[in-house]
Amino acid sequence: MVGPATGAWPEPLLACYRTDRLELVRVAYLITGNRHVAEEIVQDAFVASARAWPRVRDTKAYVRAAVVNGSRSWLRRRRLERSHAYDRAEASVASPDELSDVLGRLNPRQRAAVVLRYYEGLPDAEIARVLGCRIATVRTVIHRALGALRHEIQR
Amino acid sequence: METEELETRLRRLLHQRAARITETDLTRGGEAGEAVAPLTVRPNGSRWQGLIAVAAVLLVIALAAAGLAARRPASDMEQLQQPAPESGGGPASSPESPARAWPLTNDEPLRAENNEEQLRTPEAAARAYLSQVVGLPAEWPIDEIETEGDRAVARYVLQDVEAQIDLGRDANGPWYVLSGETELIRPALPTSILSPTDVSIAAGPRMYDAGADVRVTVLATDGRVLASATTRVEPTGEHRDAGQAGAAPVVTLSWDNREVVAAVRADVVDDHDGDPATPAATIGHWTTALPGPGIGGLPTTVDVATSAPLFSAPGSADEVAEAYMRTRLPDYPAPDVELDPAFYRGRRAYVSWSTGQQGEPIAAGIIGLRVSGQDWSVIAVNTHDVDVSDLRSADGKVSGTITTTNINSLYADVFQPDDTPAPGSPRPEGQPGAAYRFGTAGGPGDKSLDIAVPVQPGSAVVRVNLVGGTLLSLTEFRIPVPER
Repeated sequence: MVGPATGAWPEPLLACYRTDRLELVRVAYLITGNRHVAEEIVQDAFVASARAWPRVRDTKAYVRAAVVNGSRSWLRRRRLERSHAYDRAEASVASPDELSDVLGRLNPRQRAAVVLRYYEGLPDAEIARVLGCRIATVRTVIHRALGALRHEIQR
Repeated sequence: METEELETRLRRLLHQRAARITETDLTRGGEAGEAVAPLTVRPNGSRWQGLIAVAAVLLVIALAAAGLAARRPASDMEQLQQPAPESGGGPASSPESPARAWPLTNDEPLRAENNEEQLRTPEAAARAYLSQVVGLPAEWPIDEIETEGDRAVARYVLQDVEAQIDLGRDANGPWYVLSGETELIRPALPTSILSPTDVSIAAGPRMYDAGADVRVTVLATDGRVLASATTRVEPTGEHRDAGQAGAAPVVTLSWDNREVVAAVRADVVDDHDGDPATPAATIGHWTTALPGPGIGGLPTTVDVATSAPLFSAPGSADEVAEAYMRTRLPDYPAPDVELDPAFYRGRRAYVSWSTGQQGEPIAAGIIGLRVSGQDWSVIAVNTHDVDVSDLRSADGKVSGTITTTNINSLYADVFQPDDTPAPGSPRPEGQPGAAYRFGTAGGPGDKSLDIAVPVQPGSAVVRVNLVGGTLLSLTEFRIPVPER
């Protein structure tokens, strides 16, 4: 089966693409630490959303979930020998900051949860929906992430 | 540092870092769609790939079992243990519905509030399965549903890995899950439907470089978990560097009774990078149903789904099986006849029987039954080490060679449609051993018995026993007799 041509995208998805693409690339960038990968992930997310149309009920929420899932998957695939693969090289070349170091201490899910709450400002219920877990799990994940970040930032 | 201060600082850092990417940094994409890669093209017919893969595995097993039977009768437990097609050598295109992986006969608890609603459409059934079995949120996106008659495929993505669920239904009935696949793993069918059993888990094309834990679960016919175990699966040579090649890990599962496996599940588990505070979650899911024990060693025309009955009675499959054995074995319950609880599969049921004491087994086999209305009927019975697959009906005769590896003697009868012995049936009169209450048509120690019995058009019933002072076993089936 061939998916819809890009020209046939539904208007809400086109509108989301025009208005939210930059923000979504930033989300992917914060999770992956790699801007080029972030762009690709966002492109893929829109393509997947177009294919899934019309089952998409909340356009931005659906695309955002696809972006976060894509970012986590990319991190997972780079996790050679179970080491976290935050792209420190790319980050440090661009401009070193304390965040590039401390985010690298978090596992992919913690990183996604932190970005969704403290950059996107999403409520825990929405974060749970994006990450595919219970709200209580979101709080646990963020609690542990903050614990790790507190230790790193204070050093 | 206080939490509030930490959170404030974190927000500021994240926004500062995000601001490094501006609109002008992005690949030109102001016109939506222009910068978007072409959509993936799925080949036509991909909807059947899952079913074909499962069918291919079952066909390979059936062919292997057939080849085995042709060479030698299987050992006592081999045929019972081997997951096999629905009936002994029966037509591959049985009109019966395929085995279901979920919900099972009596079922693991479906959420009580709206069971019927949950299974009314393929999408609803897929969502219920993903929610209740895989553990995903109720609104997990399903990318595509393809429905063709009474079969459907639901495609979804989990952690960027494509997956699908194959569904089916019986004539406008509720939808159920036949199988589920993920690109992460390629499990094999269990080596046995009885304890213990082995399941090997090969890595799929999308297995992570670092590998993943896979939890294998086998379920009883009512959905209860019989056993589960976890193994580590790494990418193998087929999907990674040749130097990384290795045998697929094998999980051994065992349980302490004779219950059979009805379905298998394999879940790829995310351990959240060893974080013990976060519960493990499923990031890939595979499942399949097992069609039930095969009844081996019978002619290919015998099919539990379609053949005419041998014996009918009111009651459950267990009760009918017992009543049937009472009529066929005159010294019942001697010689220590034991019947296991029925294994139900849709409109069919299978009851394992054995004779002899534990440690001194004589023979064993399977009774195949089918329900019609309220009554169960016995359709065919086999004995594992008696092979009657050579028997056939042609030119007004039932003929062929019966073979056994059992140390006891063979005795065969062929009955007319009116249940009288066919003239020329190899009854013991005049044969060696006729002085015994149950004589032997074949001599003691003979491993084969040739028959060529004239029969009337319609159908004939062939009954074969091992004998030794009394009837020790039972093989029985109905064979169509065409007009000459």
